[in-house]
Amino acid sequence: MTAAVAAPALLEVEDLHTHFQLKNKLVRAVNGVSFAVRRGEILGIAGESGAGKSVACLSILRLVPNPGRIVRGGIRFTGQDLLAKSEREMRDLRGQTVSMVFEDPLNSLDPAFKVGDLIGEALTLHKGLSRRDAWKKAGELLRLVGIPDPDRRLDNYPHELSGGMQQRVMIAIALSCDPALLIADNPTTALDVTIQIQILDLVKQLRDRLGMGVLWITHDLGVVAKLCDRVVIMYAGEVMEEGDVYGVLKRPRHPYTRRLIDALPKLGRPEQRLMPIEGRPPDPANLPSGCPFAPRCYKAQPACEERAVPLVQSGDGRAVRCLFPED
Amino acid sequence: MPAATTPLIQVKRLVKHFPVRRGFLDRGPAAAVRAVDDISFDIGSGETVGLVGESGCGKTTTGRMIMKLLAPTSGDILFDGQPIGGLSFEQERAYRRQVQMVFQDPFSSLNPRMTVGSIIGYPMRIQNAYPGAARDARIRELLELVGLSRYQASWYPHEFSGGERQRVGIATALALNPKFIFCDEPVSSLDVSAQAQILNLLKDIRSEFSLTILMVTHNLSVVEYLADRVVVMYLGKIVEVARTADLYQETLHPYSKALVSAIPTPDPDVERSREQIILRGEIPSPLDPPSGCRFHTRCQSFIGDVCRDVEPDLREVRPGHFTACHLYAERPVSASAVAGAAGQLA
Repeated sequence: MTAAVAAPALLEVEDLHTHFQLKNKLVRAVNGVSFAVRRGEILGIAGESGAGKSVACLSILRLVPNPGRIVRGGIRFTGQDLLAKSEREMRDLRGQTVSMVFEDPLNSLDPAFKVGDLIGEALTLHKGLSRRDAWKKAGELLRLVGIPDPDRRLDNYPHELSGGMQQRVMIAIALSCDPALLIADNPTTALDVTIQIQILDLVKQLRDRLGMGVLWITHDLGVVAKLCDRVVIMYAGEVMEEGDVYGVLKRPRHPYTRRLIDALPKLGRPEQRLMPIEGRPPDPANLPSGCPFAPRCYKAQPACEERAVPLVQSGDGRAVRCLFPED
Repeated sequence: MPAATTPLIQVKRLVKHFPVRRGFLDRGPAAAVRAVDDISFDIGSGETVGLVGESGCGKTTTGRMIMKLLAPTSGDILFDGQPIGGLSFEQERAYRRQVQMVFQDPFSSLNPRMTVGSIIGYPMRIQNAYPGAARDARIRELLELVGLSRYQASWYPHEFSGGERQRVGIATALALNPKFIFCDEPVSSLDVSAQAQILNLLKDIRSEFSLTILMVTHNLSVVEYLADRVVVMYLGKIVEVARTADLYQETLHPYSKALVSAIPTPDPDVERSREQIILRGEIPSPLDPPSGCRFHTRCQSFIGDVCRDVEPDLREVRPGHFTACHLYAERPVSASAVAGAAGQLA
């Protein structure tokens, strides 16, 4: 990373490889991924299912489930090497300075505890607050995430709340210790659109007020356009393209990004026939040696399949992994 | 919609209430989830209607009643002018041949122990259609029609990707040459590229077989791509009915406006320029829907007591464009109500 960027990087992921050794095959879920999140920035990670987005983010918190292993790479958070930390140090970090919101709120909230205790847990654990003080702070957090009548809600169990409310509780838990970085894995997919937009608006407000960095994983480029400052497009465990949201979505350079956009129905242009991407993503246990998108790419040349294609930075803060980029 | 011909499907004052069982000791008044509460609309022959709204608005319940998978609490559904309630066994069998369904989740809707050939052939077996060798020929024909290979008839569902499974679901729905297909969120569990393939396939088969389609979805860009007309529901009520282009360009109901503005679209220019409506609060419980207009608790255009007290009727505000909202009442709202609204806004 060059030191020329304006805001210092909060999180730097460099050349991350996370592999799963199964009985008879090696699944390379994340295969040399690099990106950085700055303070006060919302970075989107977008791609289809199986692109390695979630595994990359779980790797940051060192929460990759067995038999997954981080086999190579560097993860630095405010300058500290997270891969060198002990499990105990990681536990102090998780939920305190880096917190995560998962896709499915109901499965992430312990049904046996009241909302007040769920939110208060991190506060008693990390901040040493008494249960009473933590309960009080939990009420303030619920108000912050826009839950009406927060003091009464503290007494509810998770199943008594709607999906949107549960996701707000998840965000309240994530925010309870004033994290410097919030990682969110598809947190709005299960929500209705009018509730989704409330959550997106809330995250933007909180970013402005608290100045935290946000890493937002999504398969929805529309959400990227609504929420994020910059975006990383992933495919088959690799970063295909990176840059500011406006540039990437308006003038995509990687053919994959382009095809991803062309495959979506566009508001106001129903007569335009959708252009699906033909073929299937490669098997992560048997990745091609060259560009993983080459077999499905309209611009592919023999050179694309020969050897790995490097991610090339251009001066405007964008990067693309393609031998024959658009533009 | 030409008024001369009878619509293929007419939904008339349809109501579905689900009674809620009380606890053993809780002897309160019997409650009911008012999933669908007095709705009426038509689907013309060859027309694709999109039924949109958020969870709990009653859209899937409506579709399931048309499929006769649920019995209405009251109201009528007419197919080709004939009520579908009280059919004889033989008539019902004939009806089920003509109406088919494509399910949301192509993973749980295909039996993992059957080959896709036998899955596609199952409706034919039940209905004694295409006997003998004709059935295998029909299965191969259907596989190719939906873009799969005839040799894949002997494969099992797990050997296919999500998009391919949804193709199998569509082939199964087409097996008996139905007139009408109910698609319940047909692409919401698919990845972007598979989604585009399935939407294109639905578009193609619709024109090839002049199918009538009711598509239930929460995704308004999907509806815009496929539907001729759109019905917007909120908490068991229809709030707006319009031709697709009209709904997006001249949205009338405040709820539809909020829905349209909330659709994420990957075009940053559109995102920056359009009006962003963020509704307050959550969808109220259908167990106890709000009085008056059901949307008044979240409405950004609330104009006063009339919204809280009087349930608005679905009225034709422009030709073919209906909405249920006091903003478009025949007589202008009384000055005091407007003043009251202004006072509340201040």
